[in-house]
Amino acid sequence: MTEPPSDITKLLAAWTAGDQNALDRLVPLVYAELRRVAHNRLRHERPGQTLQPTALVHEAYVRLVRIRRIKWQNRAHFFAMCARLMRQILVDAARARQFAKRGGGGVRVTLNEALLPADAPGPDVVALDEALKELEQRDPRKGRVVELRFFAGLDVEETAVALGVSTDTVSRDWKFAKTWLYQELRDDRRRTR
Amino acid sequence: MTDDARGERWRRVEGLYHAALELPANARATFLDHECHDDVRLRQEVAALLSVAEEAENFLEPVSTPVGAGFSRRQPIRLNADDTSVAPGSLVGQQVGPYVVKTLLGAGGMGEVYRATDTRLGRDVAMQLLSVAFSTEPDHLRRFEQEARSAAALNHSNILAVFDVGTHEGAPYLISELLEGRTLRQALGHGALPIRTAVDYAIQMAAGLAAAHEKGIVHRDVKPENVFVTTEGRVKILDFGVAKLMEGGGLVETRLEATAPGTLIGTIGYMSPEQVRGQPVDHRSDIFSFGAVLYEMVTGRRAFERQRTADTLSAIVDEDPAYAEPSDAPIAVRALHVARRCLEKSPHARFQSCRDLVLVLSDDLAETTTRTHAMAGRRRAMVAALVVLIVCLAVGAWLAARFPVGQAPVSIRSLAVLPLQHLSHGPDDDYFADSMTEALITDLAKISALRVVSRTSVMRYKQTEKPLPQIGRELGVDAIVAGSIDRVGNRVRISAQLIRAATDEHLWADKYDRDMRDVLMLQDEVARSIAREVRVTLTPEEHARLASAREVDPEAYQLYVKGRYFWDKRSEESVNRSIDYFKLAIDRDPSYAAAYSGLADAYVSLGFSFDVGSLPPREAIPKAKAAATKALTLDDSLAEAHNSLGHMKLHYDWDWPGAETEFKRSLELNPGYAQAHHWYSHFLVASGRLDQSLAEGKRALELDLLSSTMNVHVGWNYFFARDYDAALNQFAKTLELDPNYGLAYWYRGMAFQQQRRYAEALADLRKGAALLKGNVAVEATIGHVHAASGNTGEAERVLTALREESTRRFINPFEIALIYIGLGQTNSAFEWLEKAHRERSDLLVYLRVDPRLDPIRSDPRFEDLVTRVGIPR
Repeated sequence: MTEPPSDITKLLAAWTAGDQNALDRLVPLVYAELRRVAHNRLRHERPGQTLQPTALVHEAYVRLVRIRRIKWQNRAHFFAMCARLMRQILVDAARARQFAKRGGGGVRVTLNEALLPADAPGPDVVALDEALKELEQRDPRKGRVVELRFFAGLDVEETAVALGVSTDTVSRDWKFAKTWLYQELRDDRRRTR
Repeated sequence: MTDDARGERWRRVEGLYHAALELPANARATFLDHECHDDVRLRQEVAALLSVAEEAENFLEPVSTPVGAGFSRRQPIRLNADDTSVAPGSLVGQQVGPYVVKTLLGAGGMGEVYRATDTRLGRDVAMQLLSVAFSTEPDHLRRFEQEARSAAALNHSNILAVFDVGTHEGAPYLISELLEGRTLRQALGHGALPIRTAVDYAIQMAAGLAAAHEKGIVHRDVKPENVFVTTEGRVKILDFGVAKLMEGGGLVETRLEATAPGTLIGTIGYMSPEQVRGQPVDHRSDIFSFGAVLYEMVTGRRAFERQRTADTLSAIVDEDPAYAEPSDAPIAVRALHVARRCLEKSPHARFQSCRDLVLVLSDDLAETTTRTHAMAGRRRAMVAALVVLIVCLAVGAWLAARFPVGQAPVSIRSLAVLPLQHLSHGPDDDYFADSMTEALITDLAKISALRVVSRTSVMRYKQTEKPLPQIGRELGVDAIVAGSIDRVGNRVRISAQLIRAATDEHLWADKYDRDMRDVLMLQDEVARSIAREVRVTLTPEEHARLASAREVDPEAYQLYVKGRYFWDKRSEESVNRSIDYFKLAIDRDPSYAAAYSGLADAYVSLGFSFDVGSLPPREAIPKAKAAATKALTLDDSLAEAHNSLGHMKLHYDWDWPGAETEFKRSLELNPGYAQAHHWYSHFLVASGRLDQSLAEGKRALELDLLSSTMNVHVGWNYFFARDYDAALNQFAKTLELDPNYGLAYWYRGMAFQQQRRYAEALADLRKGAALLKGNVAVEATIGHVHAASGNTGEAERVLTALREESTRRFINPFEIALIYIGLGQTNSAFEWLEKAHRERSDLLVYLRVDPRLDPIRSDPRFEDLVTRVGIPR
């Protein structure tokens, strides 16, 4: 049973006010909800269909934070937290699926093609996750920017608030990280072909 | 390389990358040569990144899609410049099947739209061609085919007509009527439309949607971009690409990304709350979207528009449409009213069909349009109105009255919910159906403007074959709610109908299909629908209360339901069983307030002399109180828990003001809660406020006309008011209703005794004792009557038996004191009354009014006791 939304909101408020214990209590609640939302979607998903992490996070947000005017800084924090969790959920789900389908024709959990150039089949979540880990090793902040922008759908401004850096920094990080990841995944594909 | 060196290198790559991007492409090589000197690997690294910089621009980004008129444009994928298989416009002049392609009208996300001539019929048509690249994607092909299939199934002047489908060199195409005009989005470019135009368009849209809905097709993406207005002013609904056939129960799954992948922003404002939540949708989702479009046509503003997607989503789910300056024109006010009703969060609160919308809007248009100003759209509107009017007459005049524009209000002020029939046959379905019936009653009873017959009264009709008008007469109600409940796995489906009792006239029917988890919300939803249908006004507070249901763990709910079922049987054994179930429900969901409230009620029953009374109050009531308090901590709006707490504060704490506060709070939360009126009446009796108590008792009875408890309670009121004739009369009525109701014999025996009709008194008491096996209080009353009638020997015998019994089980000392009073042994009587005081006997609160205490009333010890119990003067 999920904790009532008001508690989530309270915990969120406590957390943004600096209470780290609140975060510890918040994460399992949010994780459970995100997992529920994602799995719900994945269950109804047909092979070859795609998931949009942003839509999932938004859905979880709407479900969890039933409050009219939550300060948007808080919301950015909420989404920031969701980003990491959502990434984990999607990667787990994709791994589980690959495992289940191994030898059976291999259904790939792709991200929405909308997010990729039309001529390139999308990276699967697992590959993106691997590349992202590489990026994080080199430059943790850029990894975080990608997580927030891609897995939680934060815009540049919100990302800046969540990370406590300027929007310029986020823009530059994002631009570079995209290029780097793109190249990394493309090389990766070439290697495996 | 050290970490520092690696970090340094990384920063250098990034710096060069950004710097190079600032430069024109042809200057970058020179720049890199200069910056990298001999570091070939550094140069390679940066150059490699720069070479893909452009390609990577859209990587991981949501994509907005160019819009082509009249073409399905939700496809998330940009037309790929490298995809030369079908270059835009390449088909011009070619023959495709029987069609000669003439001009390119537009290029959309997944292909092109051409103007073509059908050589066979010599007419111009529109050809939508799906590019080969996309037709290999099963998902796109499916969508394309879906659009073709949905549209082809529909033949309506307000829906884009699809003539043909085929393939050309592997690329599927779709032939539709050629439209000239613009989309509603374009028409809205300059803000609100002239009000008559807006209403005219709305009527046409509603007519088109109605046709689709009647074929079982839900559009699912109604928005201004998908509404086309021809140069003649005819409205055409486009794009059935995500439309879906309603399956069996009329519900289809929906998903955020299926509605607007990649183009979330911009179209998201027209989604219904159920779409936002990813819940199944039916045609009423289209009605919501229609409302959003109508709102925008009338006001020039989007109903839900926020800067950020998440805020827009929240607004759709939680907030009312943006405030719009009311226009002076009555037609605008009404159109806005219609839009707002379409935009209700709950599908059941909206208009229920597009046909209704056509009717209502046509009426509005007709009323405000004079003949001389008749406009093009008006004739159509009138025709539509006429057709619908005939339908309407067939359904009955009632239908007209339910719309906001209708005049005659439906005067339904009282109703009864008949036990829902369960269609599934699981072991628990009987409890489940009963508890849903009860929950519905409880919810409806919260509405102050409605009198709702309580559970016990309607349960008598569980297996009945009686005609509804007769049931209506017996229960004295204007309308009856009947329905069925079906449970398959974790889904629960309720169908309900509202019937006018007097005429057997069918007023409304609806189906609800939900997850078990949402079962509480489902109850509230049904209750609100009914409230709306009978046109009672909910106070904002009542509305909020009905909207506040939370999710519940289905298993915990089941356990709770069983608990209530056993509690209601009110035998010592069944109440103990109910306690087990409530505890299991709490184990399962420790935050489940209602389960605590059930537990409280069960302990109250065990500890209350006028109920099961098998436990000493000192043992039962603290447990009850803990449970009730916990329930209220979890949910302060539980009327049941406030009522239980009031009962305990009265009978156990002797906290008179506190008790009254709780009862009043309970009644404020649920004015139709018979049990709260009943127990508040107990409080008023004990306080000596006998006129008020009788009124409350009668109100409880009115709410639960066939309940034996409420019937007997009114007689019990007369007894304390010392109106024994009235009491005897009421007890007789109760026994007529339920000849095996032991409590009625017991109380009637007490009334006979006061009239010194001892033989009749004893006869009744013996029957009562037989029926209420194990209730020693009745035995005690028999002893008291013997004593009062002078049969000292019998009285002594009973006394001895009871005193002996009291060593083995709990016997209320007050009952024993009564026998001593009958025997005239005042000292012993006070001794036992003192014992009763120590045990916190619940019966002491009635000291002031109980006629059986008259013989000792003048004793100073009596007044002292009254003071210690705190009975108000």
